[in-house]
Amino acid sequence: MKIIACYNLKGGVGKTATTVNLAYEAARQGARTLIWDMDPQGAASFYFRVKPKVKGGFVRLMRRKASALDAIRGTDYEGLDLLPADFSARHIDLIVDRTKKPKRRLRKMLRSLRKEYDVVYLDCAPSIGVASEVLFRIADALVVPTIPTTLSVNTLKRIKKHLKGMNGTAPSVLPFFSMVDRRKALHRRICADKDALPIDPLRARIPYSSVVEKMGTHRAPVPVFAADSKPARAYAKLGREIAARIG
Amino acid sequence: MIAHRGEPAHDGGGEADPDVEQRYALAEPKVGERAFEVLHAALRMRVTASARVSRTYYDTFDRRLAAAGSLLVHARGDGEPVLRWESIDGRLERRLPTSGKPGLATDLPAGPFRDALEARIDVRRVLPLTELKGTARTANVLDTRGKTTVRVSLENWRLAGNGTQKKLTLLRIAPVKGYAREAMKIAALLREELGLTPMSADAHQAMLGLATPRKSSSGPRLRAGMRSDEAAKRVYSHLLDVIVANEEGTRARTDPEFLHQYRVAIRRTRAGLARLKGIFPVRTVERFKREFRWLGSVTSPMRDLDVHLLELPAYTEALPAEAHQDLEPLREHLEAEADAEQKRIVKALGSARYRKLIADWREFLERPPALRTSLPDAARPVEELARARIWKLHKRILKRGAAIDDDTPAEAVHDLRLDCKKLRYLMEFFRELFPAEAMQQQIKALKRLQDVLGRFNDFEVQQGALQDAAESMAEHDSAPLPTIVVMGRLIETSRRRQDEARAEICGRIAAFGAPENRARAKQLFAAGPEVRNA
Repeated sequence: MKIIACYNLKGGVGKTATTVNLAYEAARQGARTLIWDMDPQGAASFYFRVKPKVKGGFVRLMRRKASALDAIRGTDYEGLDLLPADFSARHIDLIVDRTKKPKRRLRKMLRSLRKEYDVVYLDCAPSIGVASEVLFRIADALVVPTIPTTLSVNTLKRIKKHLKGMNGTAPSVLPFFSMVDRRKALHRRICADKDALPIDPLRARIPYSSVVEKMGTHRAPVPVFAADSKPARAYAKLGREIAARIG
Repeated sequence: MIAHRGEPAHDGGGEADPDVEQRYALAEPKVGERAFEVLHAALRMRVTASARVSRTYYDTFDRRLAAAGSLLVHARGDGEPVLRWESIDGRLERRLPTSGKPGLATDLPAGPFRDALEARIDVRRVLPLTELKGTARTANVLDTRGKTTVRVSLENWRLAGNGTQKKLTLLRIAPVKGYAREAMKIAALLREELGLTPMSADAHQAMLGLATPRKSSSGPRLRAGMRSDEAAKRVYSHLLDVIVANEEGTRARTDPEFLHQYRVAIRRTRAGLARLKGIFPVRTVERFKREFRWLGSVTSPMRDLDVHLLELPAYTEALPAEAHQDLEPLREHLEAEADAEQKRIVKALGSARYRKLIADWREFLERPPALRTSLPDAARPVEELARARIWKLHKRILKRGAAIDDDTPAEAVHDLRLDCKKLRYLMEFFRELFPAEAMQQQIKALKRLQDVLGRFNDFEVQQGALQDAAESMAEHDSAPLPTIVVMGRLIETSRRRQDEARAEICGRIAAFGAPENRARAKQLFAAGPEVRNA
């Protein structure tokens, strides 16, 4: 079972859209896929029309009181399941901090899913704290959507610096350009510059597109309502690249 | 081997597992339409138009997927073509969009589906077992957010087979994970409004023609102290059930295992008739012995061909890749012969002689034993008879085995093999009368010896069969020279492996005669003053 964390310290970079579309594509191609919506805002849960509520809240999951399996809901798409968000996850850092051996606990919890899933996508909250640190340690890959702007580039530098301290246990960091707007000179320039990012980005780029925004009105992954659109193809390409990188 | 499952659970009724798909066999399409109306009136549903669809169920020749509790079905017509891997009780395990027909696992695109399938079927090919064609209508039951909680489908199928067409109407209620409660509500609604109850997984399998060959239903239920004639009748009845249960599959030849189980039951019946004298009138025994021998001989060439065909992949693997196609004429030859043999079997099973045999045998078995009898062993307690016959044979095997060394001619080895076979049948015949664990160990010890003796014999048979095939193909000019050459090489390999088996025999005989085995056998079978519990 591969664990892929979709993360950025900065919000509004297309993180949830990425998680949802990548996971949808993985499931469509035959992988048993789970999305764990860790963002207290519950955007992923919203896209799948699942109530953003876990019985007993996030604490109960962390405290061994409940099996994650009981909280999981199937989405409308076969092979793709969701562990819904819970508003209590806004205190995730506090909860993780108060849990004894949180890394071990999370690992154990994910291990209980190993028989059921081939890949788990974590939709992480945009913050850096105890919780994200634990997640970095258990993930196989960290997929980082990056808008081609100076500010985003700086954020990526900070993430890289942060992970440097983890030496052997750090996941592979896979940034890619997200919300790329070809009309903007800055976007074009950064995308063209091979050395713009501190880590080489994946080749697939997700364009800035109203199709992606329509996910909110359709409440569905892009390929469901716009299978042949540019973003749908870009997400599929991104998925293939990630799969190749994590083996 | 094919896993044995017990009696089919009673069709319909019973408490349903809320997490799995519930299936309803409906008497006619109209009932399904009515069910749709009932659900539509009570629930929020998104219904799709009826579509022309097809489903093909696949498994390996030896039913590896069924044995693991799985169904593999290629679904076409509604949405993109998908290969679905479901549990027998109706849970989707995996899915893979693919339009091509499945065959070898390695034909599928790389990924988790292929890996999982390969782990189950290895290098075997999955073959189409049943094809359904028809129409399907689906409905998604939605919650207040518009999320699908339960999938409902109404399917009208034509199932082709045996020159006839069966019509089936199936209603499926499949909960999305985490929404079992919603599905239970639907099941309750169907029960209350229309009196519908879901069918069991076994009934579903049988309906689709996916039932697996049966070894036995339950034991013949022997007790210590039972009269020998009554006990024997129970065992024979039980074997007759197995014969009858595998008749249809033998006739349709959907899987070689049907014929195999059919023949094993006949062989056991014959062994009983030959070994257990003095409990039924001689004339009766002689008549049924003759008739079952006939049935055995009618079905025997087909079994040999089946074994041959099943071994073909192994033959092929033993050859270098460039010689693989040279075996194709051999396969064609074997399959042509098998077709001819199958016709003989179908004819025999449809004959008056066969029907009379089965009817008369059943009638004889169901007649209660006479209270007073002049037959010497008829009224003897069965455990006594069983122990005496088994012990006698066991001692004979030890004696014959002791006389065999590495240079003993093959005939003596064959005699020993036949004795072992008889002993095995007798032990299995009366198995229930003895302590289960000790009996299992004793059978295991015998089986180890039988394995090597069987291999020794199989290779000999194999060489003979290849020789015969080569000669017959040469006679009909149907074999190109490379094929004959390749077959010559196969015979060589077979001879070498037979020699290897021969070299193992003495060691296995010694192992069978080891003190602990002897002591256990004595404890189990030697007549003694103490009374053992069954």
